[in-house]
Amino acid sequence: MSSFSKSTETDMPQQGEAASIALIRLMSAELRNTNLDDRRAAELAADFREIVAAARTAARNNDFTDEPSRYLAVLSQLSAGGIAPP
Amino acid sequence: MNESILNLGLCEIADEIRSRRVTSEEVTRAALERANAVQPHVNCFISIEDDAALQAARDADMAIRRGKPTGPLHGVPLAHKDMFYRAGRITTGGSRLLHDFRPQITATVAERIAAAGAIWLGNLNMSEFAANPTGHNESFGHCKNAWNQDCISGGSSSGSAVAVAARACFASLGSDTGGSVRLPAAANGVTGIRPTYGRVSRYGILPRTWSLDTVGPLARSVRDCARLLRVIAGPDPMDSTTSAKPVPDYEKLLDGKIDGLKIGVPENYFFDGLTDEVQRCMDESLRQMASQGARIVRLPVPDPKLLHQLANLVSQVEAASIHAKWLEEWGDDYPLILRTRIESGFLVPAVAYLDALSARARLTAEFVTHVFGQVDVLLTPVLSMPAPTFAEITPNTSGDVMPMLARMSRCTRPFSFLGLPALSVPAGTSGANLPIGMQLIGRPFDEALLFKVGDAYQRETAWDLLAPQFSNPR
Repeated sequence: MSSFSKSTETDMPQQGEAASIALIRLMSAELRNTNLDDRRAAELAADFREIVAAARTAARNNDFTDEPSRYLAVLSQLSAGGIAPP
Repeated sequence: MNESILNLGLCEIADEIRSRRVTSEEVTRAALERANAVQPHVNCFISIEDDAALQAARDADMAIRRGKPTGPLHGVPLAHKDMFYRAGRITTGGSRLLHDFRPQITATVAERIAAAGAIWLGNLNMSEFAANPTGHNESFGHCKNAWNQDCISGGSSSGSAVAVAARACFASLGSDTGGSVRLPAAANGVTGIRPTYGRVSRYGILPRTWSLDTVGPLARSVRDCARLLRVIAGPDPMDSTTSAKPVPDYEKLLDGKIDGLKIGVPENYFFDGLTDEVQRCMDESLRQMASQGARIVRLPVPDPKLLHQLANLVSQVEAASIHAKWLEEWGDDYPLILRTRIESGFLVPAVAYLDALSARARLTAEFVTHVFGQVDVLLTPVLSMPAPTFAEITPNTSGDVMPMLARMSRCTRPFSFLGLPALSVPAGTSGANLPIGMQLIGRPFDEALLFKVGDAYQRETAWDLLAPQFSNPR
């Protein structure tokens, strides 16, 4: 028996998801000139919420000195056994 | 004769050629015969360059006869994922949409392996645009697992792993964004490494996700990977993300000794939901390393799920930017998996994307400090199950895509976000004779230690020596 589940029917969105589905529909129309069907809009909204929540969690401890380009320097610092300042 | 040649590893065959016990032409001819014989079974090649490869092999033999200097790959036939540019030659990226794409530049890694004397046997199948972890390819046909053609090969460096496993070439260059070297290596019983981000130039490769892409070798053994990585690694003025750190002579550091080394085993996330067979292989691998003197240390690791999600975020946004123009032009011709996973990227706020990238240095420092303050390397499975069948995993609708992607790459993608080196090593087989792989993760730029541990393991086990059998392969 496969451990991978596949969709067999369209899952209907919960009440609280309606707003983000509407937002996704709007953005898709404005940014990409694409009209999404109900199922795809719901899928994208779920994906969108997960991604944005992860970014929000990560950002909680960011400060204004954390510019992305520091990453390569920190990788180098970490390599020698030294630990980069957080 | 030919069969025995093809069962040698890259380092062994290079020594044989250099010492004139066999010619590059003999070896290349044998590899071409094998490649053409297994192709109908596994579909691992997009193109095979018979004539050019044989001519290059004859030139390599001539160079040896004339006493010219030879490189560490001299005369050895390799084949590569079809995403490394060679000026004027077609590079498809695994997509029919690029069937006539002739780049005007040559990838730095392609120049380096040529300078080291390698023969270019052909271009290998891959997930379209390097964008799925399964090996599905709607353009050139799916690449099939070397051990069971009903099963997926893993991807996106699908052809690389399958061609190496099938003894059609001695090693291969692949690329790894979220697991694309490690996953197919594990699924086909070969060794593969995702190097530290910045260890190997990405200049002249088809991009998947700029911030996560790495180029890495797949080969039969750790030693073979070590040789190939040394050839391609190092700074490149054409890629500003490459590190100036010196590249060690990895092979010289392989001494078979791991006594006293601390192998970390995550208590959270990575061992959740494993099949019994994968769990058994991980347990046996740990017991093996313990018997060689390693200390096994169980420890919690910083939230891998968050790292997985952040890698997804970065990947989706950058892929949306890379593919926007093509997607507009080709629309429904785009493969379902790629189209589905790109779509979210168009809608993610720029601030969320920058938040993820801004957090990367801090999260990497936290992970490295916490984990590698306690252990020398970390061990996890590569996949939580043996390679599934196409019937089990092929998505029917867009709704099937994201859960499938998450399941496939849950153990590999977190380390992609951190940019850490990760080595995939064959570690057993399932009851259905499908390979199972373990993943060794190290500090940034500490590929040498991963090779040392993996090589010590391979000296005492034989999983890397197993070869798939094909009916009537020649």
